[in-house]
Amino acid sequence: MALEFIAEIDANSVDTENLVFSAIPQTYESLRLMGVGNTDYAVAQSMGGTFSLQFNEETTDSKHGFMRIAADYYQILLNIEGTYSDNTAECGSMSGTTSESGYYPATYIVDIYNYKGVAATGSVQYFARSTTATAANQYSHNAYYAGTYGNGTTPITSLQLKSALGNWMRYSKFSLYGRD
Amino acid sequence: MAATHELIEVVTASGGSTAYLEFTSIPQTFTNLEVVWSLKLDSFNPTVATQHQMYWRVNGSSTSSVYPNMYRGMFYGTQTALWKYDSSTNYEIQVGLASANTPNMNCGLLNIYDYTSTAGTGKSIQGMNSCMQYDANSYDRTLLITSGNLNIAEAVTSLKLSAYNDEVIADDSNIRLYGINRSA
Repeated sequence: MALEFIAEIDANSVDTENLVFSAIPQTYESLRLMGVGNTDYAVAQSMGGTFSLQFNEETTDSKHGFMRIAADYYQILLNIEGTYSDNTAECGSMSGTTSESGYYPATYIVDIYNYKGVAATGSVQYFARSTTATAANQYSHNAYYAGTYGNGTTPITSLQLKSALGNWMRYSKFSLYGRD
Repeated sequence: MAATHELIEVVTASGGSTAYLEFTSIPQTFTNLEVVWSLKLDSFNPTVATQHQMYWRVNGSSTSSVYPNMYRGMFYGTQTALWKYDSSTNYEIQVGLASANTPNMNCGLLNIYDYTSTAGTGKSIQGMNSCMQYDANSYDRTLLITSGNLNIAEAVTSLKLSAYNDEVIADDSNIRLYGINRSA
């Protein structure tokens, strides 16, 4: 089997700002992260919530970067052509708690490449898709992200999933897979 | 056959003179194909977007009508540019490719659906790829979503990748072919 399940994490026991995959195996060539999630924060419309990655749980070394194309319920949003040298890299959004009554988790697929810190291939790269639709469409979005972390030749062994506004709501859940 | 996702083959550039990467004799035992790549050029540093393109051909066909395709995303894009390209006559499936002067490889994947079909239409393609440096607004900065169709009345038995102007592909670049079965 080429695409193998590695681990699952969730926020079922307690709401939390960060969910972490640790001890990521170094036996694959690429990874796929799939999940559903929402924040317990009352975010604004137009992609007010932010789902970010922090590779190797690094929060201070200013080596994350990302870019984005997206549309929300109302319009095509201005491209983010590149946010550089940051401590997080965005890969998704969410609807929060003020959307039309009900629970509307966003769905995420993030493909992660060259995560093992090999000099010839360069730093880790990712491509992410994030989407959700709420009942009256007021908090819907569809977005694509590309990003990186300047790990150089340091392997990626852990991955922190951050809800930048509020905590991951109960039932948020992510699974990590490896491709050989 | 149970639903599955299997590695079929890996092709890697080596020797400093790789002009193309190719899968030949693709097995006909799956429903879909998935190609995952990690690529950059060996010594060429493009300065315009079109020179970052790479070209995929199936079964050695260079017939333009075989490859209707389009992409959307940022490719040297500015904040206000919504880059969108489409063609029904090109024989390429465009993807971004890292320049020789970037430290990072361009990475992405391409899914080809129902590749064993011998009907003239119906072999759909979806792809996505990206490349960026964490600290620089570089030439290789790419975020693309591609789609296409293979209008060829043959099953896909080979898949060949080459760069703009047949520029040399850097050593350690690789394409990985997976077979996927949707049936339970």
